[in-house]
Amino acid sequence: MATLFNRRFFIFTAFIAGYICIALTFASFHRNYNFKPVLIPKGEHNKPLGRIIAGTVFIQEIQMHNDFLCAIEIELATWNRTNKNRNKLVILDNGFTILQEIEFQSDSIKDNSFRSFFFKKPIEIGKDKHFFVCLLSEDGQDNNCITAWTDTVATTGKLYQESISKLGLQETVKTRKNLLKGSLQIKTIESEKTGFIMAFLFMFCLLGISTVLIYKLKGDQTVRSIELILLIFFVISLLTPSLYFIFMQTEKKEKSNWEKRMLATKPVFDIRNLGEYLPQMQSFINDHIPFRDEIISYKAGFYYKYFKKSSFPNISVIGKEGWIFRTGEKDAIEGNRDISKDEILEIVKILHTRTEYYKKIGIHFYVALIPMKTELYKEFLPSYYSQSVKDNYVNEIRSEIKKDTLVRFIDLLPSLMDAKAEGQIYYKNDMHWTPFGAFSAYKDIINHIKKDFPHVQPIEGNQIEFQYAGKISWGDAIELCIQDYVSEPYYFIKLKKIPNAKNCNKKGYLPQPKFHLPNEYEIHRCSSNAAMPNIVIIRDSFYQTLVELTSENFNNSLFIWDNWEYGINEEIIKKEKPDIVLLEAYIGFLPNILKANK
Amino acid sequence: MPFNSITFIYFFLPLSLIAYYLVPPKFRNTILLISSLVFYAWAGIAFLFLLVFSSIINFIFFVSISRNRNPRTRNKLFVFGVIFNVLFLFVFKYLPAINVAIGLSDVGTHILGINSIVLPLGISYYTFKAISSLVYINGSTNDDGVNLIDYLVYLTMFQQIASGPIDRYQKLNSQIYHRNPTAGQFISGIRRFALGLFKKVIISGPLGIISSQIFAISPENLSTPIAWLGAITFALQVYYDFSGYTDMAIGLGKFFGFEFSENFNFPFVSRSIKEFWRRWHITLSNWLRDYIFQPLAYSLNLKLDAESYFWIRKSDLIYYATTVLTFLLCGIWHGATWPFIIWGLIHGLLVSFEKTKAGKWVCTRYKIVGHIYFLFFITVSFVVFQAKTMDSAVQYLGTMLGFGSGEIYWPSLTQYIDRETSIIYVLAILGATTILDKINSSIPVFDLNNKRLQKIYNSSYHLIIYFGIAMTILLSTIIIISGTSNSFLYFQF
Repeated sequence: MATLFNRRFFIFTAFIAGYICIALTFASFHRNYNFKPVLIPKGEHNKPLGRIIAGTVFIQEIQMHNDFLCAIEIELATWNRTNKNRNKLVILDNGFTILQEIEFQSDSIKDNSFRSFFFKKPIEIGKDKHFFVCLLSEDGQDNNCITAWTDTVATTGKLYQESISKLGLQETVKTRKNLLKGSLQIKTIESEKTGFIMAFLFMFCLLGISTVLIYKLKGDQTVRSIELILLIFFVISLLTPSLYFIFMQTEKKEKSNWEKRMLATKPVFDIRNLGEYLPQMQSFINDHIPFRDEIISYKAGFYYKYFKKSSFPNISVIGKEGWIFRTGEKDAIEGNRDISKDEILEIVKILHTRTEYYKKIGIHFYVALIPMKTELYKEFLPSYYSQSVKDNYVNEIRSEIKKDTLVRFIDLLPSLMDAKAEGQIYYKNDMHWTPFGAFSAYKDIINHIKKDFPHVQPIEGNQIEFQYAGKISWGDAIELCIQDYVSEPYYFIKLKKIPNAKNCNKKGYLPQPKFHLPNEYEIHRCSSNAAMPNIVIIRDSFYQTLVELTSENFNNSLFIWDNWEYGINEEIIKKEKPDIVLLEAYIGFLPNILKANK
Repeated sequence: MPFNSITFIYFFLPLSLIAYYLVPPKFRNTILLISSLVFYAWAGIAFLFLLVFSSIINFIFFVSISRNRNPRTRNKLFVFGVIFNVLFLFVFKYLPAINVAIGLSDVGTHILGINSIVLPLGISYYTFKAISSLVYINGSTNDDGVNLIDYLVYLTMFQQIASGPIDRYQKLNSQIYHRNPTAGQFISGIRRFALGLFKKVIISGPLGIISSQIFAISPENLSTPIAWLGAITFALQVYYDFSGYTDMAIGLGKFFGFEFSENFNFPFVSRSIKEFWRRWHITLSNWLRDYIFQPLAYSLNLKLDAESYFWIRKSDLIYYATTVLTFLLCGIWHGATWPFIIWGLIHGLLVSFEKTKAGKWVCTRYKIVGHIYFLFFITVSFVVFQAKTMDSAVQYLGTMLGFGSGEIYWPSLTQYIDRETSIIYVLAILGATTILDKINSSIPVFDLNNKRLQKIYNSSYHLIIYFGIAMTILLSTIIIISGTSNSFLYFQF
């Protein structure tokens, strides 16, 4: 017995007890919320969960830019407002971290009205991620929240399926609709227990292994006690990521929304395939290292803030006064070629053949090419941009198309150049045009069509208004991870009169399998004005802003976003038999037509 | 798996250290060997088989020489051993390149499934180490009593296998048999490893991006100032990359209780190419000096009878011939391409020139002349070193000398020298000189009477250094993790 209570035993016990205490403290502070939402029919459960009360907010529309949530439209009719002053719309993630807070005055909201809220910065969302949308009043009395899934609109995610199966509900359209309307409530279960154990193990192992490592190093007379600080710091920082990776990151992300790619999955160990296993493991570790996204984003922000520099120069560069330009667009006008002369001639040939084909079946075919931002805003390019280069493949494409007299070519560059004096044509933080730029292009396009269809008249500037929708940081800024540092005003084009055209049932054309925006593939709008021609517009993202406006000019308007292939879409054209086919293409992507044609 | 990767720093290294320190000391070499083999397997399983094969054959030669008492048999075994290593290097490093150059299939390499373009990792390093072990044992009178694991540890240790230092067997064998890692050694290893990380990730990384961007500019668009910037940047990048890697290797060695040789000693402060080679890749130049230059000079001296040839003294002639040949071999050692061979030749000729009266005047008469001469030629030679073909090297050098067709547009320099990189350039240039070292050593060591004050002063000094080390590790981690982002390869909006 006496040996059991020697000094070494006491020290050892004290150490273990110390570790347990520290690990317990760490674990109790660490709240690893692992929410498993369960759907509960309305009425069964109405108890407040903290400040969150299962709600009655009707999420009308979620606007997404790629996988980022940019805006939300909410019906406030059923919100029981007793407080008429300052209110808040709060978006929380499933760990109750506030992602977004927008203040608004409830006085200004009419009953039964829908209200659009634009976020200061977009929220990154994943396939199965869900978040809470809460309306909070100043006094905290009338708080209402609802969970929204990123896939509430379109698909059924894992989380949704889990909830359905837990409740033993039949997965029906009605269930989904009820979920959307908020008539099903969400109860969240915290599986803190697992999180607690893992956090405890993480801290215990970290302390234990570090101590053993340091203890095993033989004492050295020359080592000052202060030098041990370095040793302890180094050993702990060396061990933390791997232990965190093992204990704390039990559920690994599948997809990086920001990088727009699937992350590497954990390879299966097989001694026969060791040669493949090791590099795969390295990719897996690289993709799932703790705090990876945060670190990349922090570095990008730091670079922008202090060096005024893009952290991803292969994507975009920062020009003068903070203008962001796509590197490809900068290179293009600096004379770097992505495309040969023969390929340019091939493009013209394709457009020529297509015009002939459409002509044969009585269709007017127009080609509208959208210029690059760098062509209109050269003055904001970085100072090292060599302005001496005059010839570039973009100009060459235009001049070669112009040579073909059969092709009805709408070169949007001159009209946008003219409009530049009156307003901003492109966004500072994104490659796309502003509503003003889009409207200028719209007028040019319709004026060209008017030559063949005189009764098609463009909507004039006094018939529309640019509705301010708040400041937003998006597009290229998000891809550069500098959305915290840049933002600019965002507007809608809104018709002053009640629009004639409205969304019609989709025709059911199937998008390309790889197209990541399948819901956007087809937009069908009808104005029920048989006197007007029918149009099919093969488009890309630029035309999004002009869908409503353009459809005012035609009887039936079908917008096809064919994954930037700018194809002939023969089947659709044969079926629709439109009077007009408009090919709207961003000039940088026009070479895709070669691939599609093959 | 490079040292500056997440997998190495945060997974492989801690795991190896834990295993290494948790087992009883007698099993530490086994753990080190397993770690090294796992590390090497990352480069390719086929390469691992090659390494093990070469190591075992060398071990057999080593033991045979060691146990044989007959000098002639020992010599024969030694010669066979060296021939084996030279042939091994030739077959797996040079033959694929020669085959590709002359359009033949990969004779002798495709059997093992080895890609002819990718060389087995560190083949030149471990082969040179193997030869050095054979030289040692051939000249040694003791029966070394080495066992296979210890010998394999010497050849395969992961700290050295990729890029050296090429430590001689006699330096490491006693450490392999017996070493006693101490906390002091570990702490000094941390400092060294952090320094290497700083050089490799924070300095060399951004410089590498700039130099590769400049070398990728088409010759018709390249202007003289940009060409010079590219060449200077590349020279700095190579230095920081290689010396950073060496610092990390030395630091890693210390973690496991080893003391490796130094490989760099401020090479850019040299005033001659000869001095440069005393400061640059020291273990390689020493190896070449001891195993190529000196034996060659010795045998030539025995064979040549006359006092002078073509008005050149015999001793000078031997010096010129052996120098040029040694550097030629040095060039070939770096790679089997014409630019490497020409690079070696340039260095051989310049070192020979420095032996002449004119050369001595240039290098020693005025310090500034020596520095300018050295920096000019070292920059030029690095252009050849980085080139894939001699045509591109000549074209680039032509642009540097003002024969390029690219228009000079000074603002274009700002693409490369911006707020971030200007800091890096300043650090890189200062760090390549001995200025920082001199400043550090000239910081007065206060001998304060008050012991308490003295303690506070020392602690503050250390804390500042530790803060620097912590920041280096943090910053390097951020940069390395950022580098894993491979998004946006092509994405449409």
